[in-house]
Amino acid sequence: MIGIDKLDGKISFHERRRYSRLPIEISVLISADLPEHTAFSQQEEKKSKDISGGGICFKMQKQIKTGSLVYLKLQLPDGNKEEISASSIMKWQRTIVTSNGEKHYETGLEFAQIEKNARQRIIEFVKVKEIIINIVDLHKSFGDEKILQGVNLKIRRGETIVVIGCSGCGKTVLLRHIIGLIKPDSGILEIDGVDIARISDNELDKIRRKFGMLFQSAALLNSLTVEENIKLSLQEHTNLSEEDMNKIVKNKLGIVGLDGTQNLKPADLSGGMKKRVGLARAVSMDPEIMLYDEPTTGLDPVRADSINKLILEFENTLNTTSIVITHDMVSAYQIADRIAMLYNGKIIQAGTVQEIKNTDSPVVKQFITGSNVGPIT
Amino acid sequence: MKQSIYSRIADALDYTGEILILLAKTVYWCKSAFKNLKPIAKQMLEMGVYTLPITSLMSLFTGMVLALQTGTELSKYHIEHLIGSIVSASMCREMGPVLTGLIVAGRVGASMTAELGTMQVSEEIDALKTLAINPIRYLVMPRFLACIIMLPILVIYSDCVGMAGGFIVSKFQIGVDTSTYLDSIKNFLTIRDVYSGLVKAFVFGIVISIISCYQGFRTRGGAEGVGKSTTASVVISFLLIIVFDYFLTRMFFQKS
Repeated sequence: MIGIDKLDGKISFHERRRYSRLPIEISVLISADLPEHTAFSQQEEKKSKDISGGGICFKMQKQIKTGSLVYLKLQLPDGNKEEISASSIMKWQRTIVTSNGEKHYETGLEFAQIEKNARQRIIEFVKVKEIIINIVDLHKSFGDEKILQGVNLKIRRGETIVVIGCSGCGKTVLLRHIIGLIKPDSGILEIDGVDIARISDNELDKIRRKFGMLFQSAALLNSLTVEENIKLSLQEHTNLSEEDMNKIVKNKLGIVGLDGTQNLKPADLSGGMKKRVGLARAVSMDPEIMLYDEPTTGLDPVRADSINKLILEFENTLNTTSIVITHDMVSAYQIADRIAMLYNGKIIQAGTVQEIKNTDSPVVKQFITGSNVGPIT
Repeated sequence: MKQSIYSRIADALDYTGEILILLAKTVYWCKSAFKNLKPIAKQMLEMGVYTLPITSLMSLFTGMVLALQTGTELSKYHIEHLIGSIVSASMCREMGPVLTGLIVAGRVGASMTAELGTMQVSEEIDALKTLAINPIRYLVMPRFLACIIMLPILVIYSDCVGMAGGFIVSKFQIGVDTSTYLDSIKNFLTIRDVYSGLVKAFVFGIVISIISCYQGFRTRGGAEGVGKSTTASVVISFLLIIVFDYFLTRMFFQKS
């Protein structure tokens, strides 16, 4: 049974009184009818008309990409509203320029899997989660050792995806590919539509400004103080005054609970403190995409939980897309919208927490249960 | 497994190519020098000012040894009044630039390699890249400019201290008076002697900075790797200083 708790783009799922913050994808019958298109404004709430086909037309302020996750609001018979999401297949898109020069797009979307009575109840187009990172058939070897052997993964804007896998399977190698620290042997790696394996260093640096990365060892510059470490990006990429930068440093350190440590050097910090300062540095420019390499490894359970809460807080406040590498399943279940398992150089399964927990794959099952009996040797 | 001679030649060419690429990129990033004056100044302080004590000691005793060795021989032919010219020419053409270069390679070059090598193995250089900060602009360019500015200055200082050391031995051991010593320098030391030494210092500065930084960037394998890179940096810098010294000396002083 599906119910709605809040209408802020996140969906609550009621099932035996358990709540999950994860979006739900509904899969029902495929419509074979030809679509009749009804225009809806993104700004206005209108009652749906009878839609005999599988399509719907939206007037949008910007273009969206095929494969995006679309959130729609439905009217329930009891007057409440229900929100669903569905993967779109874009049928057509045309650009309309109004007489006063404003540009908007009419997009015809066909939802492959939406039931007829759901289509009739569509009252509002809520939002779109576009694909921001597109990894296609990625291969990487170091000498004779094949690490990535055809990784395929699509990551949508605003989601938190956790990549799990055995030690040494290539999770960190995959993460380093995403930020361009390693170039693949073959395959496509697109960030916002740009294949970063085929651009110059200067262009790659422009794309990197969208990222923040927390390294496993924090990777703070030991010759600089905590304040200087966090200010690095601000000094390089902004024209902020010293006072404004100090305010940002104070704010970011406050978020991680380390305000007052500005003048300490990394050598004066504990492991947990270094990780939190590393996190503050990574979010100093409010990045769109955050990468976390084993954020809780080496930390005690209390500190690990505080890092998890910080990851969730950054996602909620900054609407960042997060990619987390970990084999800490407790953290993974806590923070993930989706979990993807890397095994033998490929993503063998990617799904919601529930889908992963209910997996039929013996490899995934063995990994998440921590059993030493199974196909993983 | 024993490497074949061809594989070693290929490795050497590879290494040379990568050094030249790093040099080209560093020269390109010198365009950002005026926005990075503070780090350049910090490196100049480290390279120049903090190297003064050891440079002073080295130059003083080099000058003294030169004066002692040449003075003893010149005395046999009663031409010890030329001692000033020999000490000054030797210091300016060879001893000053080469020994200063070796001191800087051993002290500053090793330190640069160790620092960058440690940064490499602890992922600090990767962290800079993730912050969209070019490591060559941030780390190599300040060191490069500091080296090519400070080494010639250090060489001038070294030449002066060396000549002063030569004077001490000439006056108190060989018996040459002050005015004779200074006149000898004035009459025989040429501008070519001086600028050839400064050109050598400039070239040695390029060699030390680029080799040291490159070795730092290619460090792998933790603390052991840092040690190996530092040793390699010093050895390669020393060798290249001697090799370039020969060719530069030929260029300036070989009669056509």
